[in-house]
Amino acid sequence: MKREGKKRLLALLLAGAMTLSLTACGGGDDKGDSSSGSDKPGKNIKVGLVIGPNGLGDKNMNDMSYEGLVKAQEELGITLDYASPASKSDYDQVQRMYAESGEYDLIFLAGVDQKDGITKVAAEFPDQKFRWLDGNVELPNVNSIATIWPQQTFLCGCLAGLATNSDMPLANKDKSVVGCLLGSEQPALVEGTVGFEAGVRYTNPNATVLQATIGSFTDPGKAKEMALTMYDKGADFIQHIAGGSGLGVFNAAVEANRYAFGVGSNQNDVEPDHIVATSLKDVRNISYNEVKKLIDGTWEPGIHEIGIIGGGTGYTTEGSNVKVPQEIIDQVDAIKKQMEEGKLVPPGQKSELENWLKQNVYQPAK
Amino acid sequence: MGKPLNKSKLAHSANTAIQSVGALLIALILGAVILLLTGANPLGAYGAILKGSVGSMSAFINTLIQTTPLMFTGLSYLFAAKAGLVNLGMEGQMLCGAMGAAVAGAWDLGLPKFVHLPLAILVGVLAGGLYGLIAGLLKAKFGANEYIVTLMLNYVATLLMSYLANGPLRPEGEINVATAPVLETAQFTKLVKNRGLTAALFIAVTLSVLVHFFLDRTKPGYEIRAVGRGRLASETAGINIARTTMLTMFISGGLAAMAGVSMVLGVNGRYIEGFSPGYGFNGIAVSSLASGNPLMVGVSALIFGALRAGAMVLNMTQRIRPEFADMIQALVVIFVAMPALFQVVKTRAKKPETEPAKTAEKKEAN
Repeated sequence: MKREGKKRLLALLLAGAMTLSLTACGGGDDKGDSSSGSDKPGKNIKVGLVIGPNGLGDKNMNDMSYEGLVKAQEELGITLDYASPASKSDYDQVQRMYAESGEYDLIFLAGVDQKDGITKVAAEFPDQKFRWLDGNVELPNVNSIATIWPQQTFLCGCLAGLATNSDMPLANKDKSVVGCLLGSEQPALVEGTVGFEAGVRYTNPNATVLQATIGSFTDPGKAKEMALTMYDKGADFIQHIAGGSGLGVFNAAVEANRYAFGVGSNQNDVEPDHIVATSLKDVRNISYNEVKKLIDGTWEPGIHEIGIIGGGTGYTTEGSNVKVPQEIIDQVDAIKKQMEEGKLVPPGQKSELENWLKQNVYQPAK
Repeated sequence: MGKPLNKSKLAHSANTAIQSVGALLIALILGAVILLLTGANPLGAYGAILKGSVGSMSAFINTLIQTTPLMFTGLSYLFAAKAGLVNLGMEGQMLCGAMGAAVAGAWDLGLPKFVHLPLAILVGVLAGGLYGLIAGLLKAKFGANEYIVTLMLNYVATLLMSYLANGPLRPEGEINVATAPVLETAQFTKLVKNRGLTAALFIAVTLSVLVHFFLDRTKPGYEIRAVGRGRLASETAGINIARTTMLTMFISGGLAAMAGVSMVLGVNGRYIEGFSPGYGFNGIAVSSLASGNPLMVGVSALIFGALRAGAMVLNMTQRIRPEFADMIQALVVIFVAMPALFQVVKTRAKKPETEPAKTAEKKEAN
């Protein structure tokens, strides 16, 4: 009898330990208490944020959207609520919950996969304002912001094209090979690889761009193996467009002692000795500015594309320890300027690429 | 063949009911303790869950939307368990069912609804049933352990469906990882405009009654239960074990597939990668709480459905991850699986009567 009691206690303890370990991964995201009682311009503004099912901590769209709005909360005094559904099937239910309450001045949606939900819910609540990032559907009460992917990756491509034959210590001067790893073949992201390839071959017509698709945004192990294979084949710079899988590319860069590019928010400090630059998409600022527009009364629905013009994308070397020769930086900045002036528009379709390269021949500014 | 209701059976079902309710209560209390430990307010949390599940008509609709797939997977697990089989492959069978329904539903054959919808359902159910049959076949012919086979086949299904939704079945220009939309003629009738609550709920209720009837009142149902009670004995009695095993796994797979079918033809209108928050595995909890009674699966699924729907408001207002619902489910399974715990409670309650016996036992032990 006594022994059985002990057994039961052990079983209970085990059960307890298991549940604790289950919750352990869920905690720790209660950063955003609403600041109150100030004269900040947004004190009467309440916004909601619907992020993807993978929640905060993705070092990507979810985190960046959240951080941008937390910044707005701290500086502008808005109130922020956020939620993530348990699966993609629940997007419309969460969106509707926000809309139904009628409390929110603007509901932010992060992620292209909220499309099916928002097309339904936006029509049902015509007076509710939404902001949808990486959205592409024209709806009367939704501001759909789409980033132009080729413009995001083009400049890192240019940098790679110029640097692959340079004297940079981890580049192999005699081989003009660089790589690009894609998470999955979503059309928008494929445009990103085309933009990168265009950049490389624009500045270095002899260069080869190795390309591969990992098939997952959450598989750094596989990404690492694929990146190592690319480095093996002579690539010295690899651009990833693969979300969480990208961490594997950075690992491979360290192991092979080569270079890599980040994507999205500035990732240079992940491996500052190997990540040269990041193909930047400034979701933080895009979200923050949206709140500002709401306060100023300049918010408007529609489809807005954000590229080099408008300041949503670009490239940055900030936070990286890699020394890129100044003449290369100067050249890339000159190209960036041309893009800002609208003189140079990178292609997004594979079918356009060869023609585009024939029509746009790079002449280094002296 | 059907067993008449007798006193001991009644007592038995009362016992299991107490056990289920007890497990649920302990899980909720332990959940509150865990919330306290993580610094959250348990009262606020459970209040939010109530508000999000039954607080309004819209909330209750959300509950019913979540309940529907859980009923199917709950029945699926229960059905296999009756034959002494453990089907851990419901998630994969569900994905197969979803994809089958998505393909058949999107196929424009010019069929009227009363032909197209049943056809799409049938294709889905067959896909999931045949997928379940693989494990049944391997078990019957080669003695392969169905725990391992079904569990591993989940990965195969997930990856295969991911390939299909990413590649050959994804329409041109689609930004999400999804198949083509299901035609109007293959969609379940919506019970509420614009919402995912559909006639699939009625199918789930009907199926619970049918499963009950089948197991309790038919020859194959009797054979399934006999095999579950004792394989060797039923073999001696002339029951074809191999055939019964295969039949069970086929039907169990078909029931799990219905969860996917209901999501595709009802909630999402197409196959979307990542549409399930784990409905397949949740079936284990649903079946456990129903303590093997098909007629109770609806009640059990309703409780977990409410928990899931409530978890959305929980996430929005209390900043607790929606996975809290999964944690409660896991706790319920653990406590239902501990009948000994309730025996202790019972013997304590009857202490005065059993005291002499106990002391006698103690003496003996000494």
